[in-house]
Amino acid sequence: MRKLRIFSTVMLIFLVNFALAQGAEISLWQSHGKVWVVIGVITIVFIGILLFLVMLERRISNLEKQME
Amino acid sequence: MKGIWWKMTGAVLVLYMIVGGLYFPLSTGIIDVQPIRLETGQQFELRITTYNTRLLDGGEVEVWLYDTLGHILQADLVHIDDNHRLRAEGIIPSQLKDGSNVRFLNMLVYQEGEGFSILPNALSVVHVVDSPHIAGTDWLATMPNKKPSQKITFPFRNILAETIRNTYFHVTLWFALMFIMLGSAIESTRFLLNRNPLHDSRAAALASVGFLFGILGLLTGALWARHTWGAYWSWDIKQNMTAIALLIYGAYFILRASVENKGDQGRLGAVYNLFAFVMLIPLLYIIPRMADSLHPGAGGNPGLGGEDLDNNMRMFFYPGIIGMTLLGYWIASLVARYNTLKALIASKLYSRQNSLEGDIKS
Repeated sequence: MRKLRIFSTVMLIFLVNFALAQGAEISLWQSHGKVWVVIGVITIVFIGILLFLVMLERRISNLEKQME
Repeated sequence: MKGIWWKMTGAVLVLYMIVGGLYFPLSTGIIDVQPIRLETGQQFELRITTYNTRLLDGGEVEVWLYDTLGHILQADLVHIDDNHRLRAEGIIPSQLKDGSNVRFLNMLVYQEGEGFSILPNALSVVHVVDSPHIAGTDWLATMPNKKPSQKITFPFRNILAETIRNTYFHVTLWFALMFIMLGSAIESTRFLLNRNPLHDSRAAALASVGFLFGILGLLTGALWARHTWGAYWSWDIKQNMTAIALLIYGAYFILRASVENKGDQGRLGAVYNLFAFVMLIPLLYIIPRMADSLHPGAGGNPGLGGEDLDNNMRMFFYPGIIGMTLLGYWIASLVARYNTLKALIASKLYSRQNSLEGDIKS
C-alpha cells in the first residue's frame, strides 16, 4: 500500500510536469530566462534517484520474505 | 552507519551545489535588439531589451557598437523605458572601413557600477553608395575600458540564459558517471585478479548506479534540448553517442542476468564491463568532439566553448562533481550489500535444500 502511494505521488509529479509542458509552453517554460527548465531538470534527477531507491527497497523486502 | 564521513561529505557537497547553483543571479545580458539592419549615414533608434539589469535604479548607461576592424561607435542619446528596456539613438558614419560592403557589429551596454553586457553580432551595417556625410560623425578610434561588475554572478549566454545552471544538475551527472564507471571497471579488474565475488557484486552495483545517472543525464538533456533546440531528440551526435554508450552498459546487465552459473556470470560480466568502459571514453568524450554538435562546450558552437565555465561556476561545479560521485558510491554501496546478501541467502537456501534432499535420500 505504501509503495502504491509513493508510486502514485511520483506519477502525479510527472503528470504535472507534462501538463505544464503542454499547456503553458511559452509563458512558463520560456519565462524568466528558462529557469523552469532548470527546475524540471532538478525534478527529474530527484525523482529518478527516488525511484531507484524505491526499487531497491522492494528488492530488499523480497529478500526479507525469502529469509522467513 | 559504515563510512559515515564520506557519505555525509557527499551529501553536504551536493546540498552546497544545489543551493549555490540556484542562489547566485546571472550577470546582465542583452536579449534583443531591433532593428537588426542599419545603413551607412542612417540616423538610428535601437530598441534594446536587456536581462537582469537595473537600468532605472543603477548608474549612467552607455550603448556601444563595435567590431574587430575598428568600427567603434557610441550612441549619442540613451532613453531608459524601464529596468529592462532602453532606446539608443545615433548616426552611423557614411563610410565603412577597408571598403567593406557589410559589417556585423557587436553591441555593448555599460552601466556604471553594474558592469557591462555584450551581444555578439547584434546588427549589420550595410554600405550604401553616396550616403550623405554628416559633419562630426565618424568611427571612434578606441573604446575606453569598461569596469566589470563586482558582484558574484554566473555568466549570461544568449542561447542558455538561466539553463547555464544545468552545468550543476546535468553535467555533474555525466562527470560522476565517468568516475562511477571507472570504479566499476576497477572492481571488475580486481575480481578478475582474485575471483572474490565481493568485487563482482560491487562492480555490478556501481554500473547500475552509473546507468541510472546516464538515464537521468539523457532525460534531463532531452528536456533542456526541447526548450533550447526545439525537440527532445534531435539526433545530435552527443545524444546519439551517449545513447549508444548506455545501450552497451544495458547489455552488461542483460548478460549478467542471462548467465545462471555464478562463476561464469562474474567472469563474463567483468570482461564485458571492461570492454564497456573502454567504449565509454570515445563515445562520451572523443567522437562528439570530432563532429559538429549543438551541445555547449562541444565543437561547432563558437562563442560557447570554454567561456561557459567561469571561476564563479567552478566554485560550485567541482565540489558538485565530487558530491554527486560520492552520492553515487553511497547508493552503489547499498546495492552491493544487497547483491552480497542475496548471493549469501541463495547459497544458504541451496545448501539447506541439498541437505534436506540428502536426508530424504538416506
